[in-house]
Amino acid sequence: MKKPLTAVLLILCACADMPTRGSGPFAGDMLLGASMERALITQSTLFPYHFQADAAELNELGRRDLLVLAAHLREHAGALSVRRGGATAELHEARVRAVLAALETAGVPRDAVALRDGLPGGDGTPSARIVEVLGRPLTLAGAGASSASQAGTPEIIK
Amino acid sequence: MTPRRSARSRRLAALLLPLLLGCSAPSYGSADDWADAGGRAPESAALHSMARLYAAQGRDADAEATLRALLAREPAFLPGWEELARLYVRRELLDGAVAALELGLQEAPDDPVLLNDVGLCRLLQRDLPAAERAFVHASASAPDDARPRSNLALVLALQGRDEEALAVWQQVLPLAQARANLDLVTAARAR
Repeated sequence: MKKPLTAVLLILCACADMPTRGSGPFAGDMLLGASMERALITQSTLFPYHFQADAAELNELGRRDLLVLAAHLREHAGALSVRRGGATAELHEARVRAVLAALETAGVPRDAVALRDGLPGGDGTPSARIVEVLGRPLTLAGAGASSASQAGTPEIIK
Repeated sequence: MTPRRSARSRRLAALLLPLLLGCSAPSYGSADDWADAGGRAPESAALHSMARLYAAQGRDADAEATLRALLAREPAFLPGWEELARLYVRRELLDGAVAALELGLQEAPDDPVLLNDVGLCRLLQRDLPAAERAFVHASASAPDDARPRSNLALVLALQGRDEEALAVWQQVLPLAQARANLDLVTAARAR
């Protein structure tokens, strides 16, 4: 029974209209999409281009890429770097907080997130804050890492 | 073949025959159909093809008039806005191209092709922040499409944001090619 059905399905598919603009996704697109997601996860980094210019809010691409990372971090503990680029220290901290909020919205528990400094750097030097998603909630805060406070707000290391 | 299997096959054939018939090549109709079609306006796809032919022949004014007529009738026909913008870019009317694309985006605000084209026009206008915004939006609208991401990487590299550019190129290219692209832009920037 399976063979005739397969043959008929093939005939029916061949009868369909030629693909038109925006009628995908096609297999190649899906493969490329999967490879891009892997690259995003490998990088696990949010850059200034993921944010609105001179603002702390993630832009549409930032929100989309963060969802990919959050889906991974929900299942696998890991770190997420937030690069500072040319942003001021205040703007960078605001961006980190925006990322924490977005992670929580995306289902990564806030009490499983810690922050630490990445590469050191002053003005004009690349630096990053690292958002660490732990396998389980933190109970201790040590040097170089901070846990969620009692109130559920993460402490940011200066 | 057993009688049971034979009956099953007949039932399957009866079920699928109408589907296959529905799939057959379109009928070209009777002579009356042809006569009735005489007063009918050409379809948008046909006008679009005609405009592209005019453009290929260098008859830009005819191409533009055809596209304008098409888009006045069916503004949601997005390839028409793309073609009109392409026509303006060829004539170095970048403001006109952006205006055409933005009119198209009023119909489909998240269309990745139009957004990518806006980014390219902004790039040609050397408005790099605007190009970046357009490519960011296009990349978010078509996450499986490498083109807007590659263009975003180019704009970042042109702004001297090399670390970001390399990271974006690496999302769509092997590292060696990503580095080669960045080296090309860096060399161009230095000139």
